[in-house]
Amino acid sequence: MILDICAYSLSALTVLLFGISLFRSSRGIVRAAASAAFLAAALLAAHLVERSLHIRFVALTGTFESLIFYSMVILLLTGLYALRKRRPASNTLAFFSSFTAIGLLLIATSPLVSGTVKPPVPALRSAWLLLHVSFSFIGEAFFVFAFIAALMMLTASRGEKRGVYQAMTYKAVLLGYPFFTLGALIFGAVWAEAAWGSFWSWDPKETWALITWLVYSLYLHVRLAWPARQRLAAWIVVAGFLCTLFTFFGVNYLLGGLHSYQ
Amino acid sequence: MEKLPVRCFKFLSSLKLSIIVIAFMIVLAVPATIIPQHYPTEFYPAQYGSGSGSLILMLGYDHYFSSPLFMIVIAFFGVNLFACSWLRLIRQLKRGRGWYFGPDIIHFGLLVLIAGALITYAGRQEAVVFLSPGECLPLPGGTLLCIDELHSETWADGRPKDWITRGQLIPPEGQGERKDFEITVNGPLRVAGMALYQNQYRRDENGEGYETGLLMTYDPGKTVFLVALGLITAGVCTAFFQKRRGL
Repeated sequence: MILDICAYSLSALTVLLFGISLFRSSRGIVRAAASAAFLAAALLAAHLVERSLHIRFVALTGTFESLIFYSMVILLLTGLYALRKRRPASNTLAFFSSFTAIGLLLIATSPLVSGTVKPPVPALRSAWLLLHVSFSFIGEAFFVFAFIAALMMLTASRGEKRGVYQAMTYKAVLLGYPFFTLGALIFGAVWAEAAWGSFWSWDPKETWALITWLVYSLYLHVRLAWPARQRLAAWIVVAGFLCTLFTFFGVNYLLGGLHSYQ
Repeated sequence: MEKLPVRCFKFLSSLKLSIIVIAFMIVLAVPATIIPQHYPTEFYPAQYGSGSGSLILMLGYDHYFSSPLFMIVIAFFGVNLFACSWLRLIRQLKRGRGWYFGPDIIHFGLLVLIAGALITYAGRQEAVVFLSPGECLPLPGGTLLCIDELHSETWADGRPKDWITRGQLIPPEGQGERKDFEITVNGPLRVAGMALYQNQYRRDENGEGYETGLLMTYDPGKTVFLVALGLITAGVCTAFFQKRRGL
């Protein structure tokens, strides 16, 4: 409980500080914001470790824990990114990414998600599952950055800013794509075979993960084929991120299948 | 004016076709996640009305991922992948240096994946067999799978932790020694070209003991599929490290 409160408070502080950096770009404020992000990520990690010790298994098998992990990775990447890149566009990206992280934490603590610590059912007791979940969310954390950069590109007024945001979008997708491919598709398939006897069942969750992967693959191919069509490429990234949200939330709550542990 | 075969190859290997095929794969897959799959034929007109229900059945959306429509999309995908990969290889051999080959490994992996999936589709067999302790199941090749004990583990709060089937594999006389085995959820037994998974655990017919439900599968495409996953993994990692400098 204390870890939760501290983590959420630090996440809010991160958002606040990056928000201030939008109006008053100072190295000190960015460092403070990054530090708050790192500390929040560390506390979220500690929270997961505490839950893991409680259930005697790595706590990454439920929606609540997945959201905590997702937020943790976003905050970690936000801090790293803000410290590494020293320009106003980076501060804007960091503000919105940390805002996304706190949004995910708010969803985790909402009535939509049960935070009760429960040991995993037999199908979820697998190292492949842990790799599947962790790599998927690391990939999706990069896709958060890509999504924000794509929106910034679509709303930018000046051509040179559009170029900067377009480059940010591409780099974020390049970083997220391998993690997502490995996590969502490869490790997920290997786990499915060991648990249920089939690499792929065209379960709605699996299919939407594949749809998400295809959307980002489409982005990479569109960018290669039509480099001038930056707006189209950006919209594809926006659609890709919406697909990740639907894969995680929409499938669980609106569609059925093997992945619905409701 | 180029000859028709050349124009065809250019079209089939084009990035534009790749984009069109990927877009079609996305758009056509979405309804298949919403429309329930593999329900009886009469379900669809009853659920969606006679018009929509007939359309669903006509397009094969009651079993989209094994329907002719899906097979056509995959055929275009496979041909485009092959043609693109071939063209990239020819161009690279002519140029000779600076080959960004990560995507080529991914593309090849995807082709192998399609091959593995088709082999699986054509030849996979599965069945669930229920056995109690003391019962044996003959496997291909003459080996007997005999159940010694069934074990159910629970967490402190009573929720299931694992279901375990233990026993022995007894080869035909003179063909080796008995071996102990254990099948758990996420821990299948791979023997005689098959795999056996801990699928169910229930009271037996008498209600006095328990029986294990083992899912037995024979999948001729599994090895090919695993090779494909390995290639895609290698391709993705290679592409990442080759591009890393630019990041």
